[in-house]
Amino acid sequence: MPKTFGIKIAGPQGSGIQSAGETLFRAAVKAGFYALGYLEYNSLIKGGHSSYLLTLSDTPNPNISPTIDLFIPLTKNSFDQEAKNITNDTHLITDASFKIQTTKGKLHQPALIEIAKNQGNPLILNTIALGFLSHQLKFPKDLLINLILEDLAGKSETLLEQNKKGYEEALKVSSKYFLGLWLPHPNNATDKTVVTGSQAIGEGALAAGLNFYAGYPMTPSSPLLHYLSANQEKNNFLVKQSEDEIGAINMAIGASFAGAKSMTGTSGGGFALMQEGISLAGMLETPLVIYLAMRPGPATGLPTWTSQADLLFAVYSGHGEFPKVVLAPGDPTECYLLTHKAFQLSQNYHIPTIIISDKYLAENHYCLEKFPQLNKVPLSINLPGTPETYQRYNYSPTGVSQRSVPGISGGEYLANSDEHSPDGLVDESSENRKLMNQRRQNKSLLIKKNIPLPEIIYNSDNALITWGSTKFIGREISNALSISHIHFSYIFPLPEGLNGVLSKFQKIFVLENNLSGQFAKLLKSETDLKITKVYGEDDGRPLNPKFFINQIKNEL
Amino acid sequence: MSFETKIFPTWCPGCGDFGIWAALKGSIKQLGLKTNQFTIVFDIGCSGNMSSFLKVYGFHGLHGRAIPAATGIKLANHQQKVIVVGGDGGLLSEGLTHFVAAARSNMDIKVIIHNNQVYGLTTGQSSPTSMKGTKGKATPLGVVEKQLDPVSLSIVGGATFVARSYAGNIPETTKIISSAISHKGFSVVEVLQPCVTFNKLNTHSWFQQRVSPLVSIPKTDLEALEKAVWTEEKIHLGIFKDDSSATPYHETIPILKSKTLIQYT
Repeated sequence: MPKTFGIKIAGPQGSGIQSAGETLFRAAVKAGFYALGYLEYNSLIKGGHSSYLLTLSDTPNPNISPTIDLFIPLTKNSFDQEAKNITNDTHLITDASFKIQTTKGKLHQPALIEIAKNQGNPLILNTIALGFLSHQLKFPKDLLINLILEDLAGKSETLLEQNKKGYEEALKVSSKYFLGLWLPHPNNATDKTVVTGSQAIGEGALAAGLNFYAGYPMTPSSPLLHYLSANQEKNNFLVKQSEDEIGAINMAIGASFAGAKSMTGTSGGGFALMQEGISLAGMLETPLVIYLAMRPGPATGLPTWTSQADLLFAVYSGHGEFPKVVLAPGDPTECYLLTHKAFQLSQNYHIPTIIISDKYLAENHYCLEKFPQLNKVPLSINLPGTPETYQRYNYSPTGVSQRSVPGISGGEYLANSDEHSPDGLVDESSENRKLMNQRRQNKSLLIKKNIPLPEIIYNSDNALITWGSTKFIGREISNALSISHIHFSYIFPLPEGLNGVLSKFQKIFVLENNLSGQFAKLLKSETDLKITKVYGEDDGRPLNPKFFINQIKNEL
Repeated sequence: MSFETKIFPTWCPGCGDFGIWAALKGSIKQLGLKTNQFTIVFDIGCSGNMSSFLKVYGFHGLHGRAIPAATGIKLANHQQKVIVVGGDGGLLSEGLTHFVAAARSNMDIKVIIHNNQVYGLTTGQSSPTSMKGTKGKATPLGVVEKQLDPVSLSIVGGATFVARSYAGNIPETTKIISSAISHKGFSVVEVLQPCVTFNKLNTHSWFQQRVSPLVSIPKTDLEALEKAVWTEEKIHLGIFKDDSSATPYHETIPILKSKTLIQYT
């Protein structure tokens, strides 16, 4: 088991937990730790309870620390909310004024709120907490405060001064407390990229040469909308906040029809609204990338929590039969590479491609190697031949035909959601239907041939299968049990030759962040695979590796 | 220039859509537009079936969703003139959110509403513009809802060119569509289009007794709204609003100032 150290800060929403958490994460990475940052919050703006868990690790790509080793609640209520997660070994940094009485944990009661008050601003308590942590985590003295001041750039001199002085005061107070913490050795290179899955997907889209993105706000897909909006001017593309998700996908399809590399994004309920649009992109054969950031449903469900329960919904999205691809990156590097890939596949085959993430992947902070440079995806526009002969939906053995866009003289055609003949005009005849259906089917078959096999880390003849955001969770479990780990990022269509690869294993377990084992169902319907047991949970929280290690151990 | 395809229109004989089809073709010729200079986005319904009767860059998408598709096309390549052809059902019932959103943003698309006050292609249900009391297949007791007026809606919504025309008058409809296409910004042309099969009330002769040209373009929105309202005796035709001073959406976007979003050559 990799050794981890978990630091949690918690407070009401609006008290700066999110920004303090991100700053702490950045500092940890700069200090050379392998780290993961995990934010929990509720669907409200002020009050309630939010927390940020920073996991430090001695190995790359850590999962969430199973223990809270150091805990700073900003209020008494924050302490109460997290009391159940405290163990005897947890160091509790609770303000003297909370008068905490607890049978668990090691209590330390510095007067942190007083420091904030002395600076005349109780709202800087998050900075004070970071100051206290800085000393305990042996960070270089100015690392955190420099990042905090960077964040506050442009704010009033008074505020900057309050933060600075409060931070220094907190360092002094902290130096009086010796906690004797075990910390992982900070042996990581310090020039790592700090990203969320959302940012990595945005980077992938930029690398592919995104022209147009349309979206409607919905957690947890909004971070991508925000990231792209903030980057549009300097990268020369356009983001349109639409009136609803139906508007978003139809705008994106319209833009693609006109030649733009086009994308839209949403979460559960919004994806439900986009169904007819996905089907339209399939029928018109307009390239389109659709980002689905999952959260637990049904209906509004748990808006700010995580889940993998929309997999089959994505695979079977859109009415009617048409080719599509579904990809589910397992980490931010894959977010970047597969988003670029999604544009490539969409342009090459004139299809909708869906990228699935979830709140866990979309909002976690990760530290990684810098992304490789990728070339822009070329626009798949062929200038048509002589005007008399050009047919947009001409029959070809691969199913992929020549694409024109408005503005090209001689390339006029109708993109028709009615079943159409090769020139796009309506044609309801049986002969034509069979021909066009076959064209679309041929593309599905061609795509399947070009899908890579899953990543396999071989440890034994028993294997654990995971997909999407649970990649590192699956890896930790299979390493702990010395079984093989098979991870799928290409979800649909499943690759050819999968039967052969999977039949080598004796026992196969599938683990998913949903209740019914959706990927297992897909595997069973598309392969001859015999699955030993399917494990799943969908309580809105990330899967707990330790729990599933114990479960699977009994089956080996 | 000929826009004919291999398919001759499949509308009912006497349908008002023939008149709008003729007027639209006439406008394109009148304005001298080449087929690579414009795109027509069709909604789903009898009006949208026009998509197979015109050899142009056409987009025949989803019921109610013509306007967002047109918005995407306009933003991707704002050099294209983008025209929407749809009916009262698609544009004003299922697509109302999109209609208002595009009007508010003064998106530079030109919307031609074939208003026959009925769902024709689905064989005769009442629509948002059906008159109160109209009996439809799904409203056998008569429509309870108030009739929606596309002209008033457009003015209140923020459209910068708003007109009403009658499909029986092809020369006038041609002229008005030409003005709409030439206007920079969100333009609406409501064309009163009698459905000869399913609307037995609002017939050609019913309209001919009531339509009356506006003497001049109203000077204010309030005056335009007053004139827009149907009365027992009179339905005004003509241009209700033509505000060329308003900036269309794409001209407010810095990166679209010097060039179009996509360059395909």
